[in-house]
Amino acid sequence: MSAEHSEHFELTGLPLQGVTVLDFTWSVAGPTMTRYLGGLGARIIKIEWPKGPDPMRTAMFHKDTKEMTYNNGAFFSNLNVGKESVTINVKSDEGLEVIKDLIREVDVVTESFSSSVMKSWGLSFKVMKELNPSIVYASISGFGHNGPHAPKNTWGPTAQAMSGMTAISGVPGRDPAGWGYSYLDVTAGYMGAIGVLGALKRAQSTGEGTRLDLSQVETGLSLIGPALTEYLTTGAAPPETFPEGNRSVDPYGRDVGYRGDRAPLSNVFRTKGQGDNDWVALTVETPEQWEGLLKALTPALDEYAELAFSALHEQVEAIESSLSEYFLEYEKYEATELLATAGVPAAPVQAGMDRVENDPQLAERGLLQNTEHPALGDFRVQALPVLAADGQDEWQLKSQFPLLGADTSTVLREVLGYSQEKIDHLESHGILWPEGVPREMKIERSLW
Amino acid sequence: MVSHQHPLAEVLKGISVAHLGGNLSEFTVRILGDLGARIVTVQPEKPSTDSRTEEAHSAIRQAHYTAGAETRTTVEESTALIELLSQHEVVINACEGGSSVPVLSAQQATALREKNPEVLICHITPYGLNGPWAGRPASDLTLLAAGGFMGSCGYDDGVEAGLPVAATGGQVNHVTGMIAAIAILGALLQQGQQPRASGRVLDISAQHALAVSTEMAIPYWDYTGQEVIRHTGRHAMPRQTPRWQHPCGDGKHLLALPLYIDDRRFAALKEWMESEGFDHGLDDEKYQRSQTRELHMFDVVDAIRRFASLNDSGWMFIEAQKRKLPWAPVNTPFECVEDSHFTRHRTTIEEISEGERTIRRVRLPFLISGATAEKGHEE
Repeated sequence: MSAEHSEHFELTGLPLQGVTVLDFTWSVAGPTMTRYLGGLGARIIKIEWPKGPDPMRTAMFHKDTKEMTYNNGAFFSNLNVGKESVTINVKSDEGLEVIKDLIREVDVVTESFSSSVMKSWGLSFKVMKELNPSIVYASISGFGHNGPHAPKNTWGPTAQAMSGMTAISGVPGRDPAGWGYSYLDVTAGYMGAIGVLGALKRAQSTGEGTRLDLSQVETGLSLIGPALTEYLTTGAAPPETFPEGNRSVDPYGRDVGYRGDRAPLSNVFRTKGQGDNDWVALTVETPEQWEGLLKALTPALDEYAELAFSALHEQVEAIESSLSEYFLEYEKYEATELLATAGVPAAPVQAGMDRVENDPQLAERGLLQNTEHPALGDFRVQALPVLAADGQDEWQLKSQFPLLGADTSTVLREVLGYSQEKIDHLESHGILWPEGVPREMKIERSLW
Repeated sequence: MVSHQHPLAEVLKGISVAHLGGNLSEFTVRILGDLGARIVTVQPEKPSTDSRTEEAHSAIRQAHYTAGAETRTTVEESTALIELLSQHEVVINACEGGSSVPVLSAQQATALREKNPEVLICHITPYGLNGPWAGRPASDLTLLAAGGFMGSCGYDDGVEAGLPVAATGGQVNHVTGMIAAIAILGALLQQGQQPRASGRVLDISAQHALAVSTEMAIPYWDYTGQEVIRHTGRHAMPRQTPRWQHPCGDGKHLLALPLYIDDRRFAALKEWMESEGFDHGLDDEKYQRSQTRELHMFDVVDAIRRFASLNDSGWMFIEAQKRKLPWAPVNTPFECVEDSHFTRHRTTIEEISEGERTIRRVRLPFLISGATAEKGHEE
């Protein structure tokens, strides 16, 4: 260890220890944002009201769960790991005062309601800043909180369609393939987390609060890539609405302008088994990779041995046809190994099962983290995809889950210093839990 | 020079980021640069030709991701390189195009930390620094496959049924960039609170970043033992579901999300169809209550499909939204970005002066707000 090094010490704890987030988000995009903030160590106080809790509490239960409740949903628990649950009737005067007290004490307020909801509660950014000058207020909505589309309703797939994210993938002559899942719920959450982290950095240095008004549609626009910058700058749009399936170069050798890479050979091929995910993906983007492919697949590709890399696109149909036949004899992992060894970018097409059960790389990195769930027992969640190198401490998600209302008293005591008498008063007046509603509510039917 | 107006645009002012290797790291650099960090791209004297884009597109690509970045030529001699890098707060150590091995070796990274213990190093590679697949060659397409995106995306009908279709736009770069930015910003905040602490050394894998970004695919398998099926634009599901995209009279498609149509919205939908003289065929009692209606969603969606085919997508969007139905036209991005909501009412698009020309691009969403003229947008 050098002299310089000895004067330093290792970072301890998690990055956001000491940061508290008042979290009104629901469904997927907003909770994804706060899941990452919680993963970095922030205390996340999830606010709900039992008469209309986060609908994800009613979606996707574990196959062994016999009695579904608001507290044992598997999908909800994975998405909201590391959070505490507080129930408050925000629509009551006393409940709203409790919320205002919390805003005075926390660092961040997050929500993912329609654009008018917080204002209807009297909780504009202006009001929040009066309560707490350094507050960070982050909202995620479909179109943002102003403009003609602000009141419109969106879910992730709606925003994908509106923004162009759907239109730019698929096979020519067909409807767009788009996304088979809600990508913008996930990525709007990531963008929200980045914004909040930036705003916390600003508060750290200036003490000033920041308003973040994120839109899922604008998140989609920002992820279209350089093709949209080209259009905005030069007016030029690619000739086709979307590229040819999985290719990145058209039959004339032109860059289709959308793909992350430019490879004259780029596609997926059926492998042995013929199951839904028995495919191998490969690309050839350099002369060296083309040589590697020729060597690895001899004699199947011997007739192309003299074909120069620069002319590869001219023969791509015929080469793909040979590859389609060739890989039917191989398992997808076997085919991947063969190609990777030859220096050719290749990978198995993997869905959920493969990534959880069969992928040695994701297993090595700890795709799933073991936790202890009060209602589900041993429970696995998706770990943070960030590893520490050089032997530093890993960032781990807290083994904590937001059982509806379970942390209300603790938060009011710890964060606000409320007396038990005051908490009892709020409780008895239906501010912290609706009268006549049982504490453990059963779910008749899973949302999905 | 990037034209910033947002309060976060200078939040990383004073932070200097050295950027080694352009593969999978460009979006991280874009995010940090747009937050005000100084970006210094360290590249060889004769950089290899960027095989990822045609020459005509490479300038746009550079402007899109790394506008405003300074360039330094790599010094071949290792000690001098370490000296150069040690002058930065953050070093992003990624791979050159076509390679899966980061530019800075493990020994050089150690030497850098010896030289400047406070430097934050973020390694960005296709599969991570360790493990059986570390160092494997990879591309956008192969990482979309290995990371799970192609397990959910594609068609469930026609001759293309079952074909995995890759998302476009460079999403591997984007998702990896967002995850890396979250980690870097977190680490910078922590270092801001603990002066004289050693910098974090982060290991970001593109495949891992993608693998946790597929919504319900892993939860469905791990919690229920079911595999999601590949289908066009809709939420992930482990079973066949009705299509949400329908061709309209104007030739465009409409995304008509049929979930969350409660009884009130369903009544409004029927009334709307009837007001246009459309025979929806949804009067049977089984359709009137959500619990039974959900068992017959293929019928409901078929009525929506027939109705959409008779009308323009833009009109369907406006009228559906009046009834709180979360539907939208399937726009191209070029159509969306011309909408006055973004061009006039929001600061969605920015202009950047790059030499003699002006680049127009979409801002990152956390840097967008209501346009200045829009009163009350921050209230």
